Parts: sequence; C-alpha cells; structure tokens
Amino acid sequence: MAHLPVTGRREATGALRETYELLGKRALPPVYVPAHGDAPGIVRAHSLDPAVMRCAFQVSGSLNGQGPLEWPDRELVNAVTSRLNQCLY
Amino acid sequence: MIADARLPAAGPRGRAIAGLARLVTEAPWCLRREDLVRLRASGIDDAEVLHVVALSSFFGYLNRVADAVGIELDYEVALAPPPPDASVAPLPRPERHECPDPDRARPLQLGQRPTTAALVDAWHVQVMERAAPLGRAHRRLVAAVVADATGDVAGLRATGEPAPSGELEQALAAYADLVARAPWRLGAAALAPLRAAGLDDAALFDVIATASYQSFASRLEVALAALAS
Repeated sequence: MAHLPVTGRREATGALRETYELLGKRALPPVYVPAHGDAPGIVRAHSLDPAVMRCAFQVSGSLNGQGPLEWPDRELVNAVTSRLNQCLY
Repeated sequence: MIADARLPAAGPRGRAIAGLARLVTEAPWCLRREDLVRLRASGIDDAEVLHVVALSSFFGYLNRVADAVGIELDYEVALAPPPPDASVAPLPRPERHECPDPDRARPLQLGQRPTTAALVDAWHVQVMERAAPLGRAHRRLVAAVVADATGDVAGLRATGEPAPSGELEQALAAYADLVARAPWRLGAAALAPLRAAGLDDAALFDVIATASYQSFASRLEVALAALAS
C-alpha cells in the first residue's frame, strides 16, 4: 500500500491524463514496460502533481535518451545508486 | 539487471563507474580534481563523468520519491535484495568551511549537456516557485535543510539558512533531513508528524517532491564543485 493516493493512467482525467499521454509517447526499452499495462509505479507516484511528473521525467528522458554512456553503464550507475540508498526500485 | 549478460564484466571501467556512482550517492563532497585524472586512466572521459554524476543524482531523486510515496515494484524479481536496514547510518558530511567551494572554476558543468540543463531549470522553477499547496517559505525551508545536509554552499545562498520554528516547521525540517541523508528510513510513519501538523496529501507530496528535487540538485552541485577542488 502506498502512503499517499496514487492515480493510474486508466482513472486519470484532465492534466494528469494529458501528462500520462505525453510521457507514454517516449520510446522505452521493452524491459521497462510493465506487464500490468499501467504507467510504471515511479511515474504513478507523481500523480498528485502532473506538472512535476512531466518535468522530472523529461529530465529522465534527457539523461537516459542521450549518451555518452551506453545502456549497460547507465544501468550500472542506477543499480549502484539504488543499492546504496537501500531502495528496491 | 546487474546479472544481465550485456552489462560489462567488472573490469577497470565498470569498477570506476560504480565507484564514482557510490561517491556521488554517499559522499559527493569527497570527490577531487584528481579523480578526473584517475577516471580518464580507466577509460572514462569527462563527458562520461558528467553523465554518471547527473544520472546517479537523478536516480537518487527517483529512489527518494519511490520510498517516500511507498510504491510497489512493477515486476517480479528473481533475486530480491535484502530489506532496508534502518540502522545503517549516513556518512557524515564535513563542517561547512570544509565543504566544496562553489566559486572555483569548474572542469565539469551541467551546461555541457545543454538539453539536460534546460530541462533541470524548468523542473527547478516548477518545484520551487509555486505558491501552493505548500507555501513558498515552507518550501524554501525544506530546500535549505536538504542543502545544509548535503554540504551545498551555493544552494544555501539561494535558500538562506534553515531556521525552523513551531510544530509544522520542525516537522518539515526533520522530514527533509531524513529525505536528504537516510532515504531508507522513509515510510508511512515518517509522514505522521506532518499529517498531525495539518498537511493534506497534496501538501505531503509537495514536501516529498521538493526535498527529493533538492537532494538531486544539491548532490549534483556538490559533486561538480568537489571535482573542481
């Protein structure tokens, strides 16, 4: 159970719905597309504030969509960071 | 992910990248200009160093939001990591006068990635310059506590020194310090004092988004300032 209310793509209306649609257009490697069909949990965690959701994931796109680091090196950085922050995500 | 065959075997390059991400996450103030020389010798050029620093700082943002909001994983994991150990203590940052000097000329700046820099600026404005749901003064307090905890001298110039007074501000400062220094201790219980002080769900997310954003911004700032020292 999340500690705050989280609204998924299917229930979203207004600005939140538009933001999900905008972010859904990003090309994601298949491994990052959740089988449950909704937006990834870390995106949905921002559903109380669609404007912040949009800004944060545009930064994510610029760090993950451009080099110079290749995907395996980026995964290494992210895995080390998560492990030290003791975060399952 | 780490077992994926496409990941590089932990050769000198992989170890150097992992070591850099570790310092950015745990003690960005420890970086030095000599680290750039060492990293170049491991085959990592300055643009790649900047990418690691920005990426690790940003993933720290995602870790903080994930734990503060309490999201569940989107997929099954074959090898679950151990549960968080709340007793793990964050590494202490140096005294203020020993924190990286923000005014030194820098070999690496985010502006060397202009698209990323422009998007970070837009994010900063969105997070810091709204009037609601949290008031601006309270948001500035949250950012000040995070900048202070991260040794971000330039950030503190923008926010002013944190000076919480009253129940709500004390609760905001305590939560912001947790976000900055020990995100593995975030959970429903950590939010309780803020709820008790009258914040609703939208305001709680504002606190989380502000503290987590500032953790990203301060970590990036301190790492880049430290790499100039």
